[in-house]
Amino acid sequence: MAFINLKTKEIKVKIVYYGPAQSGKTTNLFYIYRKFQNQIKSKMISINTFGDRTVFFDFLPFNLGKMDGFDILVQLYTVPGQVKYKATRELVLRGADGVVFVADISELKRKDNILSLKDLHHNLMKYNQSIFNVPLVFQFNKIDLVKLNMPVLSSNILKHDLNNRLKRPYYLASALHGHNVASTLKKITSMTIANIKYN
Amino acid sequence: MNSPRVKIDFERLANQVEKRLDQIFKQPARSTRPKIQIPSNTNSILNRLNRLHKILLSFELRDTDELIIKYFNQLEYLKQIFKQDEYLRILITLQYNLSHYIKTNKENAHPIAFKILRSVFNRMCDIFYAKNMKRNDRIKIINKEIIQYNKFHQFIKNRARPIKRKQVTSLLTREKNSFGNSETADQESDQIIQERLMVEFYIKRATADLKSYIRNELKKLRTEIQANTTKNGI
Repeated sequence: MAFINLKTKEIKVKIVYYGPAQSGKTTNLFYIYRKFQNQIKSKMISINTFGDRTVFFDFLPFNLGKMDGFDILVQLYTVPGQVKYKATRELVLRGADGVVFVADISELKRKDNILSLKDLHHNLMKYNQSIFNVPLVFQFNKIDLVKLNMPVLSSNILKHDLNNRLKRPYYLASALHGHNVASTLKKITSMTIANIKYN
Repeated sequence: MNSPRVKIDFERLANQVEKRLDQIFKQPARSTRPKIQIPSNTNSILNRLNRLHKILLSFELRDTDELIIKYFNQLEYLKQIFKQDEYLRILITLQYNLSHYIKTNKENAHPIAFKILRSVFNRMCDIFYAKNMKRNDRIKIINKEIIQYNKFHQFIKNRARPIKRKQVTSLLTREKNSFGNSETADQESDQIIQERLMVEFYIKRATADLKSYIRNELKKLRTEIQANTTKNGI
């Protein structure tokens, strides 16, 4: 839940990047950090194991500056996607105001995407939140695989698998090259801020 | 005393946030893809390519070590020249990796490595000379080479590794120390050592399997206990 401090006039928003293992959650954050380092003036914290896999979480906070008299702080988190880190995912998701679901469009990851979305649904329920109410944006990542003639899922299949009932905004993206990374972040941030009043 | 009520218009705030985000994450206008720039000193490049070709042809005839170093030098030069051209850069990297493999394995290098190296070099020349080649055609060519390279890489990885001399000697010395008799260790045949290594390998695998089995069982037990406690309302 967003943290609003009326005394210091500060609003803190937590956005979590969720998704199956190796779908590009950390790559998203890393791209934002690398590309917009001068603008956001922040540091990214990442705990990786061998082979650059996220063990605990990645964290990138940044300040949007003063708006309407309020300082708006955005905190971006990623969860470890590997199945074995279920408890960590649950913990990181706690108090999330918005979620970006990073799905892998490669054909082999179809089942993983669905399972991860189910996992998100269950974990949100544990915090009395519903996947139908939480601000959620889909990012269908790795569209650059198309150029390499790799077998990928069509956007229709992805929509059918993941967004059929939720009907949330989605972006076809390539986190590696930064395509639609910023757009996804913009969308989820504005959606999250707009949603605060309902909380 | 009541504190004054502060009303926040979140929708307006969201709009402002959107604008601010636009400012922060303003993507630089996408410039058109840089065209491949062939440097003015084309003659020197052609010379380099010719030299590379000659080296490639003489790989199997002469001492590879010396040739590979020459090959590396030429590749370094071409890498600098073609740093703008992503396609040629990929092919140069492939050549670099292949020649590195040849250099480290020397006479034990698999003959297919030479074949692939030659093929990658030829494709690099094809792309370099065909200035009007379409982007898709370039990608197709590169993909073919990458697939070939990956197959080879996988093949090398999967190839059963022969027992290294170091391993054998270390085993022998271990035997010597344990028995205190140097002759017994010397009499051990290679076959027995191989068998021992295999046994070690299987023991390691079995312990890993056992560990995972125990972990799974523990997990099941934990869930059962949890289910029971919730049922009994403990």
